[in-house]
Amino acid sequence: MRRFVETTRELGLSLLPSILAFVSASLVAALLVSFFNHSPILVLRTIWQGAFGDVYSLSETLLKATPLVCTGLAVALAFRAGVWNIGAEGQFIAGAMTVTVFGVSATNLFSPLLWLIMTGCVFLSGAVLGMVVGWLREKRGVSEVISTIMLNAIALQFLSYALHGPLQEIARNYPQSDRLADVARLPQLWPGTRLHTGVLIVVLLAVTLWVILFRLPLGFRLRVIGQNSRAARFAGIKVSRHIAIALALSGGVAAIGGAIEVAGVTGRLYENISPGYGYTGIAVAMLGRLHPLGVLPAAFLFGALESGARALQRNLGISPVLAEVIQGMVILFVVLYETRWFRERLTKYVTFLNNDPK
Amino acid sequence: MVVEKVPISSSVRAIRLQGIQKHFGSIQALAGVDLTLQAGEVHALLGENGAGKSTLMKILCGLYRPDAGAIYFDNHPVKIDSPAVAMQLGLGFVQQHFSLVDNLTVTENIVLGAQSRFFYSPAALQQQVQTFINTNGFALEAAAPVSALGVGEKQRVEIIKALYRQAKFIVFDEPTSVLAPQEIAMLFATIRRLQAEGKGIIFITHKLDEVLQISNRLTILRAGKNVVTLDAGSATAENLAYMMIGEIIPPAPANYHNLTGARSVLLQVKNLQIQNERRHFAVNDISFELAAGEILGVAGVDGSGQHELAEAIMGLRQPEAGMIQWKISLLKKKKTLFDRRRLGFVPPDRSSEAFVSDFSVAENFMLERSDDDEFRCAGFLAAAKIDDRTKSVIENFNVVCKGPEQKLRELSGGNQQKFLLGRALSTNPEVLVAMNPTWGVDVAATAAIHTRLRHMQKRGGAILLFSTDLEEIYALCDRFFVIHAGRLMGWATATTSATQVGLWMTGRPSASIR
Repeated sequence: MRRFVETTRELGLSLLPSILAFVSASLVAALLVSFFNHSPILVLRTIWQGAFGDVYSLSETLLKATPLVCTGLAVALAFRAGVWNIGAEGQFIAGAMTVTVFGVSATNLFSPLLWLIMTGCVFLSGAVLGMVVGWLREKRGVSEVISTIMLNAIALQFLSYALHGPLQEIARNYPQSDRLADVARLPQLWPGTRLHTGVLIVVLLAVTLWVILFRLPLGFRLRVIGQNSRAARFAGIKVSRHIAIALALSGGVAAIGGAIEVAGVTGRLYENISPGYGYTGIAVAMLGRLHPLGVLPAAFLFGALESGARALQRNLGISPVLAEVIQGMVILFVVLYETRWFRERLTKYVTFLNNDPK
Repeated sequence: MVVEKVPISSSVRAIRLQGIQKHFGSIQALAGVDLTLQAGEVHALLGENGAGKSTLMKILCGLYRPDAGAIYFDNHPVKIDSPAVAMQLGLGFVQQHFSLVDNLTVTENIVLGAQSRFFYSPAALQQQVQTFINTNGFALEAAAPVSALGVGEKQRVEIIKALYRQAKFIVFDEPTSVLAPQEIAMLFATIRRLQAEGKGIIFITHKLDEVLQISNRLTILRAGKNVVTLDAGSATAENLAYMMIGEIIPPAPANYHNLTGARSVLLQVKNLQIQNERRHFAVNDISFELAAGEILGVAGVDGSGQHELAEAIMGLRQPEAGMIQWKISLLKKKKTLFDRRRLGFVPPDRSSEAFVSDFSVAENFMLERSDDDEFRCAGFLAAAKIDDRTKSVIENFNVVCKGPEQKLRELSGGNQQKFLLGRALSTNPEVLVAMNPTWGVDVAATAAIHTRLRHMQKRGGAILLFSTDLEEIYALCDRFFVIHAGRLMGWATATTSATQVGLWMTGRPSASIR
């Protein structure tokens, strides 16, 4: 427990540039809207109200953050082992499809055992995609960036096919699935809101990944590979096998995100079940400093942006696309604050302030 | 120092380096080196690893700034603060590792950086480069992609690149180390032609035969100082080897083991052949036996095949032919990998091969042993246990650090090395493969490490010691062999003269032994 507290404190410190980046991006965005005759203060306040104003807003923020936690965790985990998983999008879709297959067919037979099997299959659906990437990388030297992007396209098209074919609703009106049986849905967490138990699941998932990465020998080896794969090889660690494991784990986590989204929020599968959660997950992972516990606040902030943007549209008629503009700028600022140039300036400035005789 | 003006390279008769000094932290790489290179001569630069050859050349090509000393073109002082300035001054460099873009053509590689116009006609340019190549007497197709060229041809592209930038003085850094014998002959013909055209050539090498064959004059560096500059005609391989390596005082014979007693052989290597990534034979037909209670040395200049040999023995590299046979099993239970508790390994490069610099000392301690039951508690890493064991290594090996939590990269190089040895020896391994175990370590720590190695030997452990430091080999090893270009040149003991060993290290087969 002492260690846990220590790492969280350390993490808090290392998150400082991220927080700084978030604030900077919001300010620049406010400046941008002021060019279009909106009051920047009003815009920022509306975002704030929309994200945290009341219980309902807060619940919506958490709801939006939930899938981002999963994809963010997936990206962060892979990156810790030194590989880029751009494929969280496809793995997310795979998980969403798998849960739908179970949810529409198994109706009232659901038991704890079936839940277990379903969860296992969801995880496996993403893990298999991840392992394909690992296999291509090890055997054929295919860059994981390329193969994950390609697999995203495949997953997306496969989803479209399924929704026009085998998984389409019985009424055959729209390209969407039937509703999941009630037993396959995630229970409500807070009456009167859409908040579901998936929120708790993803927090648990983040802690689990933290334990794997920082407390288990497997995670230790993954981190060694991510930091110095040559040293890992010299230390007798089987590098490519471990990278495949990391990609599989990463894929599985992203798939669970997809399943939670269907079983917790939408209740059925649509073609645009993911408005780019997999890609936003990359930003979330970066903002969270590629740390499983850092991903939680990062996803929360991005969720807040999403629900804040809804309020912008509702109340001021500003397009919610503004949220995406802010997201993009957050990443630019994180990258900027990471540069040595900036860090040197910052430390110089801080020491200058400390030495000021006044 | 004031730069008067950039002298026109074609009229410069000589480059003079005077009193060049360079420190890296507490280590003095160059302690006042003088060197004069005349136009129209081939000047060989000789020295062991760490003698300061590369540092001197990096100063000449503008990659390092000297701490003291000056460079003169004829009598103009010049300040070379970037490779671009070196190029403008008419200095060309043919590096050991080529700086070519593989998927561009020969023409594109040659004009890269020298072509300043925004628009150009590729066809005309190719024509122009082809003419340039032909008039300079090279046989090379300007349109060919560099990826399709052999090593010798790539080197020629590098030479043409230097000439295209109107280099008057060209430095060749171990140019023959990558070449086949017939390519070496072609290179030497090229060098002679350049010399006849009045170019000044610096030729860096370890190989004495080549020095005697190609150079007019030669300078020997040892420990950052120039030992001597002399005419190649007045040198013999024997006195060059002696001057390169210097005097080695054989240590007290008490250290030596009785080789005639009953030997229990632990490792047998027979006719081993290993190809490196460039498909060259890095290790060629090497055989030896390692017995319990001995320190077997492998001497040789860096890059003679030691890395590949060590990696193959550690099971990290697949040999092409021959065999590596262990007489005892050092494998993990049900695993194909070696148990690092019983087979210790000290990789040659601390920062890139032995450690993860951003991890704590404790995490680095368990790098090789993350699946060890000792460090596991119900599947989790037993942090307290790891810290304990790390602390005992820190104490036993006098590693100066704040504790197991400190980041490894905050430790000094010497302390990292002590910790590396401590990590490998902490489990009392039966066999140790150590590469340059005292690299970058001060005298006291070196002595401490040597004591540890002897201690391991006394309790019956076997050590395979790779070292580019001959003094270390002489001080520790019962017997050793010399490796050069992947071949075993000869076996030696403490009574073998350093001159003979030096000849082997530089590629001369034995003429007379002892």
